[in-house]
Amino acid sequence: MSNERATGSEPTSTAGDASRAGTRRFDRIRGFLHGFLTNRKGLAGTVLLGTIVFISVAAPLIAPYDPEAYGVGPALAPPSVSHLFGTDDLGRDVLSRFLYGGRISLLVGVTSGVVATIAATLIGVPAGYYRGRIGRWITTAIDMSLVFPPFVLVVVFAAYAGSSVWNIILILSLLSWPIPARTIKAKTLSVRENDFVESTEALGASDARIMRQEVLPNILPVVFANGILQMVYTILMEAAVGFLGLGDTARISWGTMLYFAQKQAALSSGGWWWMVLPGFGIALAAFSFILVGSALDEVLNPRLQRRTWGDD
Amino acid sequence: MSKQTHDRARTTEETLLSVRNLSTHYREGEDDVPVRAVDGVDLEIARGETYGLVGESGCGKSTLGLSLIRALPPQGEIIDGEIHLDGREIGQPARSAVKDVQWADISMIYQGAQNAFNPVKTVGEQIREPLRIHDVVPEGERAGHVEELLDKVNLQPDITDQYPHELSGGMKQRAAIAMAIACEPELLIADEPTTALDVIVQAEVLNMLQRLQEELNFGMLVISHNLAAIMKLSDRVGVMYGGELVETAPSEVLYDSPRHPYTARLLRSLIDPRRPPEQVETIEGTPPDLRDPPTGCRFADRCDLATEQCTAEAPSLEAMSERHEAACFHHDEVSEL
Amino acid sequence: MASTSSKKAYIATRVRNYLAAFAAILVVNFAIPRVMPGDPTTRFVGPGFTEEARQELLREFGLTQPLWEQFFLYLTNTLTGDFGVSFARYPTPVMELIVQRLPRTLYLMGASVTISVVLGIPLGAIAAWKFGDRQDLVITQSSLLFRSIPTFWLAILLAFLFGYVVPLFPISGATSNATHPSFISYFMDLTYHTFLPVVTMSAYFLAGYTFLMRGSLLDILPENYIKIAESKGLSERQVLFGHAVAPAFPPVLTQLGFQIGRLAGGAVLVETVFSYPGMGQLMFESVLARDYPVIQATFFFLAVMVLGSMFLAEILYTVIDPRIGGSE
Repeated sequence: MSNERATGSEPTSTAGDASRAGTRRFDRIRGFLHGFLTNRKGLAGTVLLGTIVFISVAAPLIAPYDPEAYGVGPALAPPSVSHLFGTDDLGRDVLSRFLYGGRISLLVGVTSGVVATIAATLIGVPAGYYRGRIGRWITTAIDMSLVFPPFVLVVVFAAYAGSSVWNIILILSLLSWPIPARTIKAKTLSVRENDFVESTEALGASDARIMRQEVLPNILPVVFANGILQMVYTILMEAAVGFLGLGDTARISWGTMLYFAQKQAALSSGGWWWMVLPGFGIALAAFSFILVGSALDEVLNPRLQRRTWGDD
Repeated sequence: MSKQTHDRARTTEETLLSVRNLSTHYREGEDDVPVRAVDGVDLEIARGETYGLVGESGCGKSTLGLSLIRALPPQGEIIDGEIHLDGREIGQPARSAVKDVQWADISMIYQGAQNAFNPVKTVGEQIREPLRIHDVVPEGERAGHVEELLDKVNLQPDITDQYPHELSGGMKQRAAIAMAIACEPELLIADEPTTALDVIVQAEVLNMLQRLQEELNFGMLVISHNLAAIMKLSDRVGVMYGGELVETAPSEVLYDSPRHPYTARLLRSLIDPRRPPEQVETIEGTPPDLRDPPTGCRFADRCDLATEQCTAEAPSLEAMSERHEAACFHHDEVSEL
Repeated sequence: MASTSSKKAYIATRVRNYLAAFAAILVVNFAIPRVMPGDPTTRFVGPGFTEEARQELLREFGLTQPLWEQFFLYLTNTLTGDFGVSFARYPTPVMELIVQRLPRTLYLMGASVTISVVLGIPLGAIAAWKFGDRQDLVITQSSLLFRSIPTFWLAILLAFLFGYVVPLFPISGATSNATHPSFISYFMDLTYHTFLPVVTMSAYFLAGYTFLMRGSLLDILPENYIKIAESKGLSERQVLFGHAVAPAFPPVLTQLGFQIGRLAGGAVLVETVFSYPGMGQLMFESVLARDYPVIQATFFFLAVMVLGSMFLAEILYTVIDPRIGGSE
């Protein structure tokens, strides 16, 4: 929200302001969409991500075989016309399993990314907003949380609590908020210094109201870009949990596919096709999120040229 | 406007800097339409003279300064023209071939002294650096030289060991001046030297620049949008519009009888009591698009005197009187504006 | 000097925070086995005991006592390095396993961070300097790509390519010989074995630091002091590495500190794939074997390693950035 600095002392017409703010917001959204889609990374990331989402949703329609069915082909058969990406040790079709496998990655990655980002916002904004003791306390709490290595904790939790998909989502959400919380706090600090926040404060608005109405809209771009980039990490962590065999091995996911492949020494026994596709899927999913996230970052926080033009 | 500088003792007719037909363009990518930020500018500055360059944002005045000291950003390039400093051509050779001129013969005070200093290096280290690069002072005497420089700008010698964040804004500006005169340059470019400083510090800085110029006899190019400050400080003033120099004259001549409508507008806004005294940017209309400048006079669509001729062909600088040139077909009518 | 004393005060505050974080690690490590679902006593006494022997052991471990007494016992044990006995490798003391493996993981993580920083800083610097040019594009896009490739998958591919197809490097163990005539020969052997793991871990983190450095420099390059450095007659390289990199580095270092936790996670994966007997592999093995004393101890030490590294990064930050603890 582009609040102008109040120049006069008399209150301005709120209705007029609201409608102007509305048009401005609309213009900004249009400008943003234009910037995002003309950004090469943004476009490539969106197309890539769209494709992954599409194949995951449409898996039942496009998968050539039942992903769970054993012996739809010979065991460990190399790619052929009937099995484009070969079969695994139990004669299951790798391509079909791959198409289904993205569902868990996306579900876990996106859900825990969203939850972690919300948590990071709820914690990061007050950390940057409150000066003095409260701010310091929350910041210290964030810093302390950074000490616990997230993936290590995931492994520990998996050992104690088991590893249903919802457990993994819960754990990843609980553990991935501190780094984005730091970023959000820093951004809040800089927004807080703006005059309009101070003037709203002078008008006697409550802290919660200022944070919600003045600070949050201004840091939303950062929150958004951060959330998307956070999903890159949660997707990779989910895959890693699966790969270690600590995930729900009864469900197909790219991570657990790799777990079974590695367990059967797929590469050294010549079954590279079993190993390549799921890894590729994870990398591609993470890459598409990274592209979208960094394109968002570029469009929403433009750094423009590396050095400004000399003029004025 | 009272002026005390145009008859300053050592201002001579000896030409120090001579710029001929200088064009500097910016280009973002290979097939991008270039922005003609500076387009065919001629300029001369004599030894010991102060030349003021004025114009609104984006008129190319800062780009001109950066072209002279050869510190254009990578997107910028000198396309055409010559820059002679003391008879040496420094515009066309590669930047690496004229590195010895940078700071030793031409130095610059950049707009916004608040970040003129690297935050992780001491102030003294940074003032000393050009002495080392150009080896103008023997190594053992550099520390002493830095203290002398600081003394010239009324700073205590103990700030050499301090970091920039430990200095106040005014101190940083003075230290930036000390750094600029470290190698006793022939030409000092000052880009908005007083912007963002409070009024008292502004006056102090301007006085200091004048005093140092008298002492060291360097030519000075002062770039500003602040016409009042420029006229007070300069022997001659050039007015830039849309990448071109549209009028140049000794400052009191320019003040008394502008011959370009843009200059007249600038002067009028200067004395208009309803405007803040230092703003000249509040002239109606928008400056021309320098990617695709109009074929005729670039000021035509904002000008009250514009005729068909103005949009059809571009006027060139013509002598109005001795040392007074303007580029306007209707220069005779400007006084009636 | 005023600035030195405020710097000291700043460090003192930070030290206090780190001590608090250490306390937090102690508390969390105590709590994990006790708050998790299931019978907590199974986590302290291995399987295969009669009920009587089990009760006896529980009493011995103090698990029948009130919680605060248990915590006190846990504190004393932890701080004196007594982490009990491994279930899976009964009766090897946990501490013995840790002492063996901790240096290996420290070496793996240290080498990876060093390589990532040493290569990432210049790569990021070049990308920023050539903003928008082909060099920038290549560096940026490949960092994004390497940031997306799952570490463990890269580990598998590298192990397969350089350990199996073209067997240049060992793909398991930390050393070939159990004993070494000199430290140098041990060090060489260890480095040879850690080569692929270090390359794997560095790929992810190198990409990260390259990107961070680039971003940080892009914020710095428009500053006047960079233009002034260029105007002073320095070459491009002198401007970039003599003036721009130093002020751009502190923010990168901060991020480096934050991400050390991820490095520990990377160690678990990479050590597992390369059968590198470090802390990560130990933890993973004990998770599979439900060897709870070892899990608890490895978690504790990995967290303390992260804490220590963050502290080092912060001290370094304080040393290189004069603005820290300044007059504000």
